[in-house]
Amino acid sequence: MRTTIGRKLLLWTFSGGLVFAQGTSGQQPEQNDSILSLRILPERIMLSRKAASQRFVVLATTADGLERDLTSQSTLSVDQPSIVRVDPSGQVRSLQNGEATLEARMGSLKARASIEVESAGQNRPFSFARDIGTVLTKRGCNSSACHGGVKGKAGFKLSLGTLHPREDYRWIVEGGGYQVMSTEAKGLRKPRIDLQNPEKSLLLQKPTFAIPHGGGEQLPLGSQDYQTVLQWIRAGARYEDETPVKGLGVRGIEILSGEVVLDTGGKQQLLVSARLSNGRSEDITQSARYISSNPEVVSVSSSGAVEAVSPGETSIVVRAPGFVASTRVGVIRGLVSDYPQATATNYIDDHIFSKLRRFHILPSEPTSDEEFVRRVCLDLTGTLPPPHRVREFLADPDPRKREQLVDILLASVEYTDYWTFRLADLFRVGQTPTGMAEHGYIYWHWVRDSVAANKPLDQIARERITAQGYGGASRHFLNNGVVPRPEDAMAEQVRVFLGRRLDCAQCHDHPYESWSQDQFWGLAAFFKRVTRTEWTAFGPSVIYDDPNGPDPDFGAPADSARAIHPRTGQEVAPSLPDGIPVAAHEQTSPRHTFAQWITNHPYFAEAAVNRVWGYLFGRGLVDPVDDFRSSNPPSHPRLLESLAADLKQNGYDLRQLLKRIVTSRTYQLSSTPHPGYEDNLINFAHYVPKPLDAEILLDAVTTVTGVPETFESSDGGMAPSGTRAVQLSMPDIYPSPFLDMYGRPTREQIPERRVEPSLNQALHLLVGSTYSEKLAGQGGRLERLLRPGKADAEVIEELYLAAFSRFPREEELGALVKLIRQGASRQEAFANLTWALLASREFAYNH
Amino acid sequence: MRSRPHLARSGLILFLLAGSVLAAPKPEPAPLDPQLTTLSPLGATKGAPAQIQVRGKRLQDVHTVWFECHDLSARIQGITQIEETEQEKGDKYYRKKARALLGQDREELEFQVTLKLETSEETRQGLHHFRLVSPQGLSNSLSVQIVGLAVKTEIETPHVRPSQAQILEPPTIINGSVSQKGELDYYSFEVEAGKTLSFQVLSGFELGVNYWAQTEVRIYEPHQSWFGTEQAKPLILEGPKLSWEPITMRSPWFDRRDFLAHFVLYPGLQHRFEKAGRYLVSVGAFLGRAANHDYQLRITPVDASSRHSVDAFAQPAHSDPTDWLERDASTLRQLGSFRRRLGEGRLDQLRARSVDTQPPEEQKETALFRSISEKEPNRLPVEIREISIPGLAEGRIDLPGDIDHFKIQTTPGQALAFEIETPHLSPPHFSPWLKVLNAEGKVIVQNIFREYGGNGIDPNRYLERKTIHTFQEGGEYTVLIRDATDTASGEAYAYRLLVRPQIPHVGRMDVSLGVFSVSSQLIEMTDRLNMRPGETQKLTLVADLEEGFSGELSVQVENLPPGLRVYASTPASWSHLLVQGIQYRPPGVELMDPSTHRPRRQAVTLLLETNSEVEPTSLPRFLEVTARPMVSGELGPTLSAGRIPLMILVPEQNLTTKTAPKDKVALEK
Repeated sequence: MRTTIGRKLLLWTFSGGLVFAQGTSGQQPEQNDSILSLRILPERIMLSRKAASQRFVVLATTADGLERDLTSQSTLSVDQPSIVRVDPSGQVRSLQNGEATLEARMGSLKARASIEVESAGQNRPFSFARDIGTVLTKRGCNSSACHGGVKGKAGFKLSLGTLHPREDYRWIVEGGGYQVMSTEAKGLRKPRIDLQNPEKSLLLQKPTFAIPHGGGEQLPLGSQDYQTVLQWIRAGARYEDETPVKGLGVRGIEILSGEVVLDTGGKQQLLVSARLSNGRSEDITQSARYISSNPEVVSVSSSGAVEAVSPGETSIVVRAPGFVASTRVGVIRGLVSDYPQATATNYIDDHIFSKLRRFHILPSEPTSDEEFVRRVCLDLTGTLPPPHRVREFLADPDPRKREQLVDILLASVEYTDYWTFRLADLFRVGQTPTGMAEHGYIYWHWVRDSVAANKPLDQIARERITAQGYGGASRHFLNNGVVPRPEDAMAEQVRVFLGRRLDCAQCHDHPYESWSQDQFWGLAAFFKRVTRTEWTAFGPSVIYDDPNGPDPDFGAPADSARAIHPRTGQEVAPSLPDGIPVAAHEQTSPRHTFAQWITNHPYFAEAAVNRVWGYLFGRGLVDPVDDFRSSNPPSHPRLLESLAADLKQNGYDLRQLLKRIVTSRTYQLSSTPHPGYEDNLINFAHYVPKPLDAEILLDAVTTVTGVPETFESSDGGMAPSGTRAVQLSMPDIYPSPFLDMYGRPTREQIPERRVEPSLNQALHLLVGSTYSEKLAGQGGRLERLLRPGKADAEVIEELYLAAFSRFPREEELGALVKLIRQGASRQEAFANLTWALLASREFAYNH
Repeated sequence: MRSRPHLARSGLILFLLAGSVLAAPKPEPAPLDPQLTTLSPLGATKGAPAQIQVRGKRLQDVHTVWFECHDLSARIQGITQIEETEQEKGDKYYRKKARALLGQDREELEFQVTLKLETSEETRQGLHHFRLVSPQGLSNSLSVQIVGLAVKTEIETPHVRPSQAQILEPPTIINGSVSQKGELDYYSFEVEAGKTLSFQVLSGFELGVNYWAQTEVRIYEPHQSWFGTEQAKPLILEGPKLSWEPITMRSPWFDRRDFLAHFVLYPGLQHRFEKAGRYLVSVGAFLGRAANHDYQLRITPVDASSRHSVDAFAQPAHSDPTDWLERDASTLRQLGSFRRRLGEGRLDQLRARSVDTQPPEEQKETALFRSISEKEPNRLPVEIREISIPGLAEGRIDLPGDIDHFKIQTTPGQALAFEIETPHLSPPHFSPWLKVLNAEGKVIVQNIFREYGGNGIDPNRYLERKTIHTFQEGGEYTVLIRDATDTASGEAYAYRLLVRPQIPHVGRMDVSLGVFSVSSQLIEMTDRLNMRPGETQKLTLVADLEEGFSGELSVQVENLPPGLRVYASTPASWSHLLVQGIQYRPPGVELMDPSTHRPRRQAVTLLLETNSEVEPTSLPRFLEVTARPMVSGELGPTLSAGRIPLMILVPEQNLTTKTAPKDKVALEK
């Protein structure tokens, strides 16, 4: 697949001539490849201030579809050398004000980038956050493993990635030991800088290892970073704000290179840019810190050069002071020649197939009608299609029959049942989570009515977050019969609706993410007014917000009912992540503001579509579905954006979203992967079979056998005859060893289903009551099939259609007919066959 | 059949109430008196003959049906011993628990008594209480509902699936029974487009079975499932689905009547049908918790004008003479009702429960009663209307988050009471929240009372219908009223706020056989007295002394049979628990003064003693317990405190208990 570098260079020298060929390495197209196009990244920049610089990358698109970093093989030149100069690595530095063009040449191909230089005579103002923060971040001093950890290291605490530069500054210039639960410094406050003898500053002596340092040498003596810190101390160690008024404050960072695809041994330079408050960008490629999430797939150098290690896919996390970003990097297994043209049904396919093509992964063939009808029925309704419907569907010649079936399913009662079950799981509907069965019952009704009415998802979120009074949604504020703490209530809403886990930030700044403890408690404070009232001695709880707090008439309120910042000990006012307190309003609950923030946030739609995607494909575009974080980026970020935009445009309509996904070609790919792609689970090149969740599996067993399950509640009640497991309003009052064995969650916390095979399941399959009773049950499917004296082949066919939604293959049918005839009794033989079908992987999985 | 006792003799006791209560209930010897558990069906049409089956224990010797009114009567047609079904055997867990608490060591036999009910066109509609009488005593009471509509009976054939639904033609009432746990009975009906129907259900409760068994009603449209399953499509219903209604029920733990409120599925279910057609309604026990669960379902059309009016379905046919304002006659709520009528007459009602010691001048002043109506906007000082004292403000929460503002002028030391009525929707669906603010905007008083309950962490907050406060400083105060939530509004969220001078008076009085010490609640170990010669029985009278009533009460027990005497006891040591309840105070937290929201309570124990020569009675008579307020030696009006049916029985050793044959018997009486 790959020729040696020397040979490649030789070939290229003959074909086009390379100027900077010496000592370079990296990817090159195969001998028979041709470069189709060339581009420079970025295409247009503005260099501001003295000695401003920008790293450029030359990217070449070749016939194999890959885009390779050929910067070092390109001829780079500028048309105005007096304004900027460029070095072979692609680094451009400003000299004086003016405009210039950077040109890259490779053979006959050229690419250009525009450069404008302004304020070349002015130095960029110093900023502690930016300049010292960069050193601390780049050198890893403030990483979670070092002083940026929850408790810091050796008494010295820095905020993770310079999230809180003012606090960092204080710990450096004032000294003192950090305490997690208090803002007070521990021990004697001795500055970590020495203004009289700057070189003797602890801040320099420790990382240069002039004195013992647990982290070893991190800052070589005399390095540029060393000089930066030293000069700062010499200049008086002033803080100097980020100068937002001058428009130079950093508002975010961006990885310009986007998704990177490498072939084995390939390399690419990442480009990272800081977005400034004045709308411009500034190159921070050299000053950022790079971390590979999986060094076994790709490595990354301290300057951002990514190198393929082995086939796979991972992400590179980039940190700059106060910000974090990530990008996905894939290393392809091998190039696919004659990559097939896959027909896209909608934009989902465009995104999926585009990535598959880039990664040289072959999509599977479209799924068969048999596979589709079973898959879509299970995914939209949690129900197996009955044999007569399977026959109808398979016999239907209409090319639009799949879409028509989707419409039928989305309008069915079974759809309402199933998605009620899904949302009830997510929203934790149950007796314990609401304090009592009656509460769980009306909470479940609220969920069901919402699904039946196809209530927009943002409306559902707002209703749940702001729930008051005695309605169903308000019951979730009575966890175990008690109004939850503000921090717990908030963290649950954020996890459910934004897909983020903020819990860590409750006790300290999030160790890996940019969520601060202040932000956490500011958000938690939106729930601090939530309280309840009754009107009889054992009356029902009415949930409401008391503007004066839960206990205004009781002197000092109990801490459990207030949002108290654990470090400052102060009561926190409701504030959104920008930190600005939201004005209290006597008439309305502050939760309305929180709900508006949640549902208007771009994260909301992304989290919603990702969760739904996860239900349908067994894994989210971000997986786990409620663990969005910079170090866990989406597998298809643009698809996630498109789905989110689509959802928003369609009024947060769940049915529309489901229809969009299940009518895509991607969803309708076969579950059989092309050879070599069996373990590729994250690119949706084939439909990855997923085990049926406990309730779906039990319902499927019931459907195939035709013997209903009985659900007796722990308090002596009984669900109506024919109730399916997905219809149970409160699973926690219906004990079921089968459901527990297959991973039914208790809903006491946000459910995470883990359907891991177990020995118990295997034993239950062999001798468990669920199977044995249903196979022996009266009035079931088998009894009905055998009674009229149908031919064995017909019965086998019917059982196959019921369990697998397909006809038995010829060889299966022949072998089974023989086996049935050899059985001691026809009844027993067919019971054994039914058991075998139920015990098969084909039955227990949606594929 | 009913026999009303005449005032044969009365015993008079004058006693200074200071509190006396019984200790926690102790296991008692196995009772002999008849005990009723269920009846089926739950009601009948007036004027039409009906047969009713009553089930219970120790019924083999019952001979008379005793109603508390003259409107109707019943005859016993037969008594049968009941074979326990498999389902009932499964319920033994609860029965065992109940037996263990009652100190019973064996399951008793159950009997079914067939009654022939006789009513006339003059029989009042509503619930009629009845009991059965045997030589072992008087039973507890059950209620049969008499209605005007022709009552239909559930068909014999199964109708537990939508396709089997029994056809109904509203308006209609149907008597039915959920025979199996988890069973749903389906009915179908036609309705025109735009019609609103009301679905109301009355259900029975059975001693020893899950006490929270309730009846669930759901409405569906027929649906043809693509999957071939028979599943109707539930309609999305507006309005509350769950409510909190008082239920006269029997606890599994104690053989007593219990008026505590419990969750029920919202009894006033209404739905407007936008599309004409055939629909389905199902009836089942809530969460399938009960079998042999009788119900009566009424489906009636609703006019837009009467949408919020209180309906008479499943309400008592006759008012309880001991009822006082704190019990809502229309909903049977015993505590915290917000539906009692407020107005000018309220002041006279209260004065009638006290001794009139007010100087004539003050009476004149309080007679200047005025009503005002709230108008939006009312936030600016010039917009705020003043409520005169006494006076009534009528208003409505027009928009979500609406806070209505009023003002009052007080004089220094003025003691005022603020009472709220919610004529349509009551808590928990409408929770009127009152605050009174001084000139600085500080909340002086509000109608939420907080106390620390069981865990000592999470305080209970009670929304109170009445709040009293003495204004130390005179001047202008702002009165705010809103719903506790910022989401509720509309016609149904109407309120009436009465501001009046405090009127010290005697409030609710309860006569019981004791107080449950754990929760300091009144309990009734029985709702009747069956006494034998030479026995004693204690009664506890607890009185609420409202708004600073500081006088005394004279207590009288009337209609005593010859040979029965009544004594008054000294107060029990822990009766103070009745006043404040048990609060678990977290460190550093001050308890709220309950006097703003709660009456002062006092208790007295009465001891009844029969002598050995007392004559047995063949039928019950009511012991009438009355009380008269007494201030400065002056007696006020006679107030009814309680009526307890009493029977004097023949000595136990003279009894012979029959055991009914297992086969059906025709035991004509």
